[in-house]
Amino acid sequence: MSIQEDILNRIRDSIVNLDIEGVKHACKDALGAGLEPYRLVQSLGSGMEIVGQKYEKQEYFLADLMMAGEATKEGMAILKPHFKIESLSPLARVVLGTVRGDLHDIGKNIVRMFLEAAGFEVSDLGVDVSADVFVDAVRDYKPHILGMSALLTTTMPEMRTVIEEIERARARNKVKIIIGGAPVSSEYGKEIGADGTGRDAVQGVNLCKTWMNR
Amino acid sequence: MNSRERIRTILNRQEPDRVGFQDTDFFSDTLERWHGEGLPRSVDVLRPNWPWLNVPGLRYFGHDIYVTWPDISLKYDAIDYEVADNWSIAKDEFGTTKKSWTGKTASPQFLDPVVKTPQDFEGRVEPLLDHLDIRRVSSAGYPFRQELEQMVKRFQREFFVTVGVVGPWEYSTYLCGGLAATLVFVMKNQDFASSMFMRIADFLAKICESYIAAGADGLWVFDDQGSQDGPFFSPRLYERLLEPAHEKVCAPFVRRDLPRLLHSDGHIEPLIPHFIDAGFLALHPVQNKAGMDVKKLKERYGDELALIGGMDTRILSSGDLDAIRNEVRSKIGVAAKGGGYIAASDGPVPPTISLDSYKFFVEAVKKYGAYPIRD
Repeated sequence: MSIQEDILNRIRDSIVNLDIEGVKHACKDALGAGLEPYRLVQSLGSGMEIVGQKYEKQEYFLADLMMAGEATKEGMAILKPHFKIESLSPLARVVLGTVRGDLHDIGKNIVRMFLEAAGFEVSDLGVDVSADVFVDAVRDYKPHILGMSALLTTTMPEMRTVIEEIERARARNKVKIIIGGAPVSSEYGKEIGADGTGRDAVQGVNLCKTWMNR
Repeated sequence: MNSRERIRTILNRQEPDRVGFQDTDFFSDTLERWHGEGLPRSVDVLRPNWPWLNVPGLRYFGHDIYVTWPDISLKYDAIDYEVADNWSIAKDEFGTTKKSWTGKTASPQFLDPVVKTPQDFEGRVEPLLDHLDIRRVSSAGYPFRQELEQMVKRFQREFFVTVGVVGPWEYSTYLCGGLAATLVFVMKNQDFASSMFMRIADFLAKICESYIAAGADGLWVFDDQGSQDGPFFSPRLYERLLEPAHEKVCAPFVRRDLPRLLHSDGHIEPLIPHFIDAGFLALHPVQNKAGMDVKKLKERYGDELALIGGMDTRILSSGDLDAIRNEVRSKIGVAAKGGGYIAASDGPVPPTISLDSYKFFVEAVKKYGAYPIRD
């Protein structure tokens, strides 16, 4: 195995082992060895993918997901100053937000973590996002995917409102829409015209990857 | 039987006169809807942003348990930063700044937690976990002990009285800024987190001792350990970090053979053996949409654990009276055999349930919950 492969594997394995210091050291070593930052980002993404698989198999739990996210964030912080603009070509653009009236964001934040690690460019609108803000984001940012999160049965109906407003703005056919959150079911997603529903954050990200043929 | 006898019998896993009944959380929106449908205005939540039903509400719906809530905050003075029509930003009694909805039951957004580092806990929190503070019921100098005892006795005429506290995990989320931030803090500082949980548990246990002395019938710990997808921590990590803390909170009640109830949302079945080891002998609310099945849990753990809840709020929301009746009959038919079951919704009662449906549900519990339980 070459030194470069060894370092890339160390980055990936440090993510899987939830080893923040391991990720930082490996990223610094990688930069010192002249490896292209985008390859290191791919290794971070590979690690997160394995973490996601372990979560789906119930070998990892939410605390482990969060720790893997932290490790990825620390790795990215080391790599980002070394990115060249021309090497930045995201897989797709995604807009995320928690709907109006809802302040929950943990699921959305996990989705953002995984999407960024997988090479998506994510614009996070935050929480309590009204329909017109979602519509403006679709119009201005031109995302490939719009993701909405709600954790309450009382805020779920906002998702329908957002989809209706996007239709009214004649932008519906320009964006794929995924919804998620504790009370949200795939039946509800079909009912309101979403393109997909994420049973959990990992499944939601996998659906986004499928849409982008990754 | 009165409520005290009924709940004590149930929690001893023996057959009472009928199943117990106890719904805990009610969304403000739910009661607002029900007031419009004829619910007396006297029935309400205890206070804004606190979804617990008040005493007129407990009486109206025939609940069996009264929970008394000691002040376990750090007693920091609150600071209002911004107040809008339907939300506010304020620093609370734990020293944490949050954005909260007004007049709506919903989780707040944590903006600036009081604990970001272990040093913050040591400097800003630990000195205030002082059970000897004269303002706390646990202090020998607490001047209102007699009134506390009288309060407990007064409510025991109508209810089984438990002392209610959030558990060491949930308490930590108040300090560290909500679920996500606390998970990261704990994972990055596991040894420290373990001692932090024990410190909080010690404080809670000492507060609760005073309620035992005042005559309380039991303990109810509110400490969510999971989401719909599963526990927050692996069972091994829960065993190392949190189980000792839960054991500490339960200990005063275990010593006196008083019941210990645990509320935890989510799919937490992998942790149940550990909850039992920690000293809990009843679990609430058994959420259906998180894959928790009251019938399966009765089968697997019925010899060691009483169950509270499991009635699917999605079915109650349907308005389909036959479906509600079937839900009640089928769940009671299994969960109540041999005692050990208190009927309740499987989560906060949402505003999608009409008052008529809820009243029908309550009556069905009384009808089908009378012993001997029919199949």
